Amino acid sequence: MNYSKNNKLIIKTILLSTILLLIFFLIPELAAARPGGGHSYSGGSNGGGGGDGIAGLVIYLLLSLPPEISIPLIIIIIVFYYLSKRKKSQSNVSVASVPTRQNRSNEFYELQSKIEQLKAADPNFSKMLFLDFVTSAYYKYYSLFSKKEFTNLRPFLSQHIYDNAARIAPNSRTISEIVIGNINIVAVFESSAYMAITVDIDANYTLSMGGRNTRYVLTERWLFNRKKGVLSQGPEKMRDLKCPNCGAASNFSDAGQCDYCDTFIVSGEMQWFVNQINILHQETFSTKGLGHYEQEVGTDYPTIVQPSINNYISRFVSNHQLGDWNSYWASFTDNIASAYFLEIYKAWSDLKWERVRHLISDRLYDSYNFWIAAYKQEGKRNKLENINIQRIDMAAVDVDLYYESFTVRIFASCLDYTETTTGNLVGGSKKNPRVFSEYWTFIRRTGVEKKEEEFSMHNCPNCGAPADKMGQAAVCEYCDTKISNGDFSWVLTRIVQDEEYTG
Amino acid sequence: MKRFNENFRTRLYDTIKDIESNSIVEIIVLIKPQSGRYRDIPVWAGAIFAFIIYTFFMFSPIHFDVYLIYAFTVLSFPLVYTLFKAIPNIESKFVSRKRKERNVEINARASFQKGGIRFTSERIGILFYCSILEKKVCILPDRGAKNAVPAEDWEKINANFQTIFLNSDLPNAFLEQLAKCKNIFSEFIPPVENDINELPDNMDVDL
Repeated sequence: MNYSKNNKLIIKTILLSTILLLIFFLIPELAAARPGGGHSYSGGSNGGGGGDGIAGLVIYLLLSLPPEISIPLIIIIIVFYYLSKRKKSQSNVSVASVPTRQNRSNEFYELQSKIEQLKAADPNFSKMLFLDFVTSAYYKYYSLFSKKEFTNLRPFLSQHIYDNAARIAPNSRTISEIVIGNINIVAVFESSAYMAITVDIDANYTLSMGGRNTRYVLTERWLFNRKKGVLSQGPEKMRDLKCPNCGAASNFSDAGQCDYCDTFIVSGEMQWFVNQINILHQETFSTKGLGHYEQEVGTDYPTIVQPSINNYISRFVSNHQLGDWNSYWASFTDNIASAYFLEIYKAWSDLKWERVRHLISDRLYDSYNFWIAAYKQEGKRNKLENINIQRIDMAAVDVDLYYESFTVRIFASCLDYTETTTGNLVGGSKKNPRVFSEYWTFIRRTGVEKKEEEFSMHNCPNCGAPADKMGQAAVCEYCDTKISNGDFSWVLTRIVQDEEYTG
Repeated sequence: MKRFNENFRTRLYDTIKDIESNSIVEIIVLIKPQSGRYRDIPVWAGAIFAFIIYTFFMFSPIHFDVYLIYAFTVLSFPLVYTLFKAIPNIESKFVSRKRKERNVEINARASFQKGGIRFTSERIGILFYCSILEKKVCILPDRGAKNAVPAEDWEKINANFQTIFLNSDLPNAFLEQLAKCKNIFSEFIPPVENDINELPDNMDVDL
């Protein structure tokens, strides 16, 4: 009997030891699949599923061993598990030379100061119009790539950019479906002869080459130069690339001579021109990530407030002869910021982006329209329900010769989830509200005096007809007027997540 | 890695900005806790210890029960394996210098490649890759930067960076050496007008 009992114990011990050895050899391999590999949790849980069976067997065997063996074994297993977990989390930590919040804040103040200096030297400078100019330049540069009309860009490109594009063009590469997501001014500086503005452009486009199409998502850094002392052009010459001399639609010879006024336009003499193009980031576009939710970051960050905000508020109050800034601000937050926020996110949730066409700028419309199309293509929709605006902070005010802009930080919570068209939850939660904040920038043409209380979300701000026939270009079919430039009312032009906002 | 805190990262960014405002170089710094995994070391240690225990039991003049011999031999493996996992940096003591240096260089070169540091028009990107466990800083200049600075100066920079591990205040020592590069870069790779950063400011490379 004793012999048979010993035999059983030995068999159990051998079995347990083999399993333990297997686990100890296997665990590092399992761990190796995770760090830095970007593998999804589903891969990990599959591995864990197999481990449950082994764990059950180990527990069974441990319990059937004498306590003087099983207790130390259990302790060792626990210690090992704890250490391997700790080591795994530690091994992922690394430090890179990326800007911290402090660095970003310093750069923000530095940039604001440079923009103020630029405005002092060039009172016509309008940030909004400059961004419109950048948008036009970007669209035209890529859409006219490899076409003979590329010569029309000659005055707006430096010699080497122009030559380089001409050199690449014969490869029959065409670029289409250009969508600009965001444009940020990242630096303003001056050299001995030129003023310089560097912008980062987030965009995506389709590259056709050899009969194949590839959609790319990119971040590009463009350097714009202009001779010192040159003043900015007005809206009609900044919103589109036009002859800086006569204002005719750009139609230039290879040497940069305008077909209408015969003037040779030298790059930088009257208008900004592109002097450098760098691709900072490029990857092929994929819809696989739609519905994936990251943990919300940045909601607790302090609001980044423009250093000279009080000066601009005073200027705004003076321009509009407002008696009291606080009551205006209350009206703006209620009738514009909150109302737009709710209306725009409702349209986003319903995948009816055209419903708010008259409320948003062309660039923002195209950018979000692209994502709505991507959701539709994947048979998904991102729903935002029970939106509750908690607070609205003022972040920046800009007033120039042509435009006024308000940037506000909106704190809100809502049920944010993504589901398929059949109602299956893909990501997010239908029960737990997500708390977040975003910076929204509204623009309006300087001189518009329409009161915020009189503004209707569902009517054309020019003719008052229902805003149901705006089309893609935001031209009201009733009054045949373009609405999305901010010429008649506030238009939302930019949405930036709190952790990414740099002013 | 706790020593490389927010304050250090702020100063690191400022130091790089200062260098870059006096030169056209584009500097990327990556500080990694380790470049190799060395998982084989605890396994080898456990196996050797198990073998020693087994040998002891087998040839000891004292009589042990068979079950005890088996159990202790088997248990000694996870025990030593766990010990090696528990004591920080012990694995590296059993790894040859050559192997450590190779791991650092492989990871640095892979980071240079994956981070696209070569994508500057003048080829002036420089990667400072610091691996704490291996106590090694690998400096990888792109072709333009490498050719612009005399080899002797590169050697000097390299040698200076290896001394930081002798300093108890490693983060400060690192920043000090980085700041010293300013004069060399400014002399041999001076700034030019209209120079913009061609590499992203937020570059972090995970292999």
